[in-house]
Amino acid sequence: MATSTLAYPTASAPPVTLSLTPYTGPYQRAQAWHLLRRTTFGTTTARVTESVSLGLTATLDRLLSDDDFAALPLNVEGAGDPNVPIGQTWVEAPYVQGFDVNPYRQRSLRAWQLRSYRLGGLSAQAKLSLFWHNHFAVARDNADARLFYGYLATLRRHALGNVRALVSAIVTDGAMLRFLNGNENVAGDPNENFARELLELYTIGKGAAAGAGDYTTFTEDDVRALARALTGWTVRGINSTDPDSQPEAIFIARRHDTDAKQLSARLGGATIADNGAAEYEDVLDVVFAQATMGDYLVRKLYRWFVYYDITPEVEAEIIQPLASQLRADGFALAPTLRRLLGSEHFFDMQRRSAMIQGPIDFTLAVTAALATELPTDLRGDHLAMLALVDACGAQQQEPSQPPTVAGWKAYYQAPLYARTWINATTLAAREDLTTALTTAGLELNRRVRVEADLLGLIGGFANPSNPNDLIVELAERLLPEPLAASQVDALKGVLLPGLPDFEWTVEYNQHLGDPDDTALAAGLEAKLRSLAAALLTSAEAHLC
Amino acid sequence: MPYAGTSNYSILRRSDMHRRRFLATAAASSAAIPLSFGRLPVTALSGPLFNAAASDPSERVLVLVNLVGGNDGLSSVVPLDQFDELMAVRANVTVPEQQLIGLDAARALHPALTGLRDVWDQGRLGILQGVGYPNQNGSHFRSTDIWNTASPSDEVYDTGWLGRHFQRDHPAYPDGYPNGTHPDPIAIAIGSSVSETCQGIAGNFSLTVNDPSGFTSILDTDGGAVPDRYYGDELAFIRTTISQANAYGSAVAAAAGAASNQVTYPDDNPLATHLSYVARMIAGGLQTKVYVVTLGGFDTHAAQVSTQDVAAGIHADLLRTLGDAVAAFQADIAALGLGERVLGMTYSEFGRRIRSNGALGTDHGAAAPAFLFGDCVNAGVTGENPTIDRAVGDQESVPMQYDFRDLYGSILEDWFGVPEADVRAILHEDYVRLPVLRDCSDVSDVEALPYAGSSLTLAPAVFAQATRVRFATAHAGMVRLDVITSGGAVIETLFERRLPAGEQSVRVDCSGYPRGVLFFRLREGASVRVVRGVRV
Repeated sequence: MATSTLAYPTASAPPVTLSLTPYTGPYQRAQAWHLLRRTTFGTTTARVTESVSLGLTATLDRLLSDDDFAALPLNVEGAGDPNVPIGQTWVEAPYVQGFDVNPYRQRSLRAWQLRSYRLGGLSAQAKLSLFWHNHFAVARDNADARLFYGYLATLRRHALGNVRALVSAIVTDGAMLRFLNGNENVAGDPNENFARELLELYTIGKGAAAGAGDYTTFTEDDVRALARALTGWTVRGINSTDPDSQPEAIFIARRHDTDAKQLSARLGGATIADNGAAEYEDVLDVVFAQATMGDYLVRKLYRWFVYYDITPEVEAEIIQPLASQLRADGFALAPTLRRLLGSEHFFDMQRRSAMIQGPIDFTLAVTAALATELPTDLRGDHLAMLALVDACGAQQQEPSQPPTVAGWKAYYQAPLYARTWINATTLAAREDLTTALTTAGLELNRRVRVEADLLGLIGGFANPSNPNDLIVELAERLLPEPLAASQVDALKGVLLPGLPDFEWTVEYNQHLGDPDDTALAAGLEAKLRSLAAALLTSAEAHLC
Repeated sequence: MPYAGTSNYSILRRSDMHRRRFLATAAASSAAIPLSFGRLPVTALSGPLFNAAASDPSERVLVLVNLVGGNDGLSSVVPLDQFDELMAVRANVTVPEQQLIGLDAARALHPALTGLRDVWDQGRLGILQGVGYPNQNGSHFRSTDIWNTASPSDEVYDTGWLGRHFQRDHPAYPDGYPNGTHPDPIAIAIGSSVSETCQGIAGNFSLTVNDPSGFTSILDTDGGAVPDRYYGDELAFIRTTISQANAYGSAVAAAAGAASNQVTYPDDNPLATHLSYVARMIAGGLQTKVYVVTLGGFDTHAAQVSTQDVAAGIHADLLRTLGDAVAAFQADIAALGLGERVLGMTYSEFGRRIRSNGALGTDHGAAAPAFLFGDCVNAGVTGENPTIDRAVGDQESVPMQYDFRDLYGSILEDWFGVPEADVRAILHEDYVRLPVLRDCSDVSDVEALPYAGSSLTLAPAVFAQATRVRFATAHAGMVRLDVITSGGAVIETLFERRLPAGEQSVRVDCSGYPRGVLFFRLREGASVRVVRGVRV
């Protein structure tokens, strides 16, 4: 029976588990869907099958290793760039006199960013890359696209690595220096913007207000002191036509404040002595030595992978042990993630299926689940990615455009958190996407459309000629939990309005016997699309 | 805690509200909601019938204009009596005096605010100076939360100030909403995010509307009971949102289709477009109480003004967008005969620092003016110009004169008819009613502005151990004197007591105060004065 492999745990709530003890229960399809939906984009049934055969331990090994996505953003639309032929990358190519290279590069980069998420395979690198993009939330502007590419590449490179190394790279990242005015931070006229966020949003976080300018974890004086310690950095090479010059962060010693910087007791009362271009490392040494460094970060990771509601019990039993581990591991991320993702708590039914998918997640999940045929040629793929980026944007999460320096609200704003993604406007935008994919197609331009191929998809199902099994198996791809019997019946009314079950069996078998009957195939595809559309407009489809 | 005994709108923390089950009934009710609209087209509502309705607070509408990022108050409403000082500390972002739009001898608007000048000339613009909160938090996010939730700066609330107000009349919301008595959204947020001002205990009272005419229903499938775990909570939330979106969406579309804008709104002005929707929805008979519109981009750390022209640039463009949009909206509201039903108010998470920075910008500050517009606004400027010291420190901001919760409370009390005791419970125990609205109906009884005769001086202004505060009160009554830091933190309340009218003098021992700039803030009723000193 096809349904036997689809068995989910029962819906009745088992005891809540607040244990980081390694999970040793069954690792079947339901558990694999759960783990992969939370850690990768666009989970497919093939990936789930692979994961089940690997088992949990080997799956975690894969998830915590970098993916093999090596593609670079390519020139698709910039035929006038003499240095970059169509199909070649522009990421180290200079600007050109008399031809504005930036518009095509910006579009190429938008497409590439989503492609990097979509093609992440069985690795959490893509999901963590977006996590860090939300955490170090730089918005792409119209400046030299090489800067923002460098920023995204930095996030990818360190996504599963060491947090300390990632923060070091970000402190001296050109896009970040511009975004938070670090490039204008000079001795005598310090700009506090970056120093403030370094403490408040990127590392130790802001504690409770304990007095004027005292946030428990740091003080306003610390912000000023760190701003002075970070003086002297700027960005050069933007828009440069010199083939040997790239936009890059540089340190200008004469712009650096060489006086000692006194930190408050909140940061241990340390003094940062002049250390020129390496002084930021001294700053990070102090910050990463704080006893609470890691707490704030682990809470964000928990909200990203598990659930937004951090109860006092979760704080005590999950967050604190993980933060201790992160510190003990010198801020290497993978062991902490492995402990969380492989824990009894992570597989606990209490928190299963309760994640409201963000727009990027939802968009990539739906396109993958419907076996949507995306063009593979250079231009078609580029346009398809841009169409999906636009769809994400309409749902209020355009990659590269976090709305503020704190990232997307769904990841920090109490009390709604992930519920921020769901309202009358965004639900309509989600339905626009699913309707397009299941009807006329998502239009890329006048000639190219992206649409579902459901008849092809169900060809791989265990028992596609049985409408009940078909609905259950399609639902496994689109919904986080099995359908109620009443829902299966309602959906059968969509697939077979007013007809007995065997009518589907008869017609589907006719199609198998004569696959060249395009009229019959089209009729079946239309029915399947109605079914998928109905599944995707259920409230359940937004959850994972 | 002032809220402890008020169960209808207690300020619940997440730990109290999580796992709250409200969806099973809402999902069941969604199929039964009739798509009928208890309203008449606007033509039937114009004329005397409509004016009679205007005296009813339940007919009144509040339009919030959220200026996101922190608006530079000193460039918006310029204190002319401090102009030389402004030129000494922020010349690179200050528009020359001859280009400003004078309001009176002491105050002028930024030249881009010609729209607000028109509203001023009609007697429909009120300006409340120095609105902020004690202990200003420099973070956008925390400060935005404080303005949206009306929490004290050291407490985190999970409900919005309007959400707590709505919760009084709609304790079960969202269970069973919409219904025959309340067929329309309680509040509407134009755009793609609900407004945190409208967050209630179990649901947000605001419906997002991108384009009121562009409604298409979302498929609503009956999923049966939800399981008793977090999954069920989230599922229930989504189902409620879908069914409300459908029911409310068709009501919104019907209202928007029942009325037309009576003026032409400016092009290329998204705020104007959004306000035109608001005018149509109100005119179309929607019973919605609050509309929230937003205009972002006020976080002007750099390039606030153009390098070529200090009267142009990012901030000027934003102010022009604001003023032109409000002027068109106000004209439309008047033409639609809705003047006495609609009140508008701007708010922003903070003002900017007094000193500008080297990048033609300004950093995060504290208090700033709020604009109110409408027929029932107490037109004019309330509050005093800030005092600008040429020696002002880099970190100093305009100090708070008026607590924003007093502004909110005055609107709840005088506009929506909320009893004062409830206002205290919703906002804060120390609520003081401010005379921001005038008597356009029979609800409010606004006193004359009680500033004449009062004075507040400090001698010496620079002190080490002690100084003396002198003040005169025009009337007998409660008087309170606070000492606050430049960041807005209240160091000490020197006294709060009933005093006779007349001159008073108090010696203040300052030996325990932090060195640097301090403010002495005198409050008598709704009147507030602030004087600045420096402890050395």
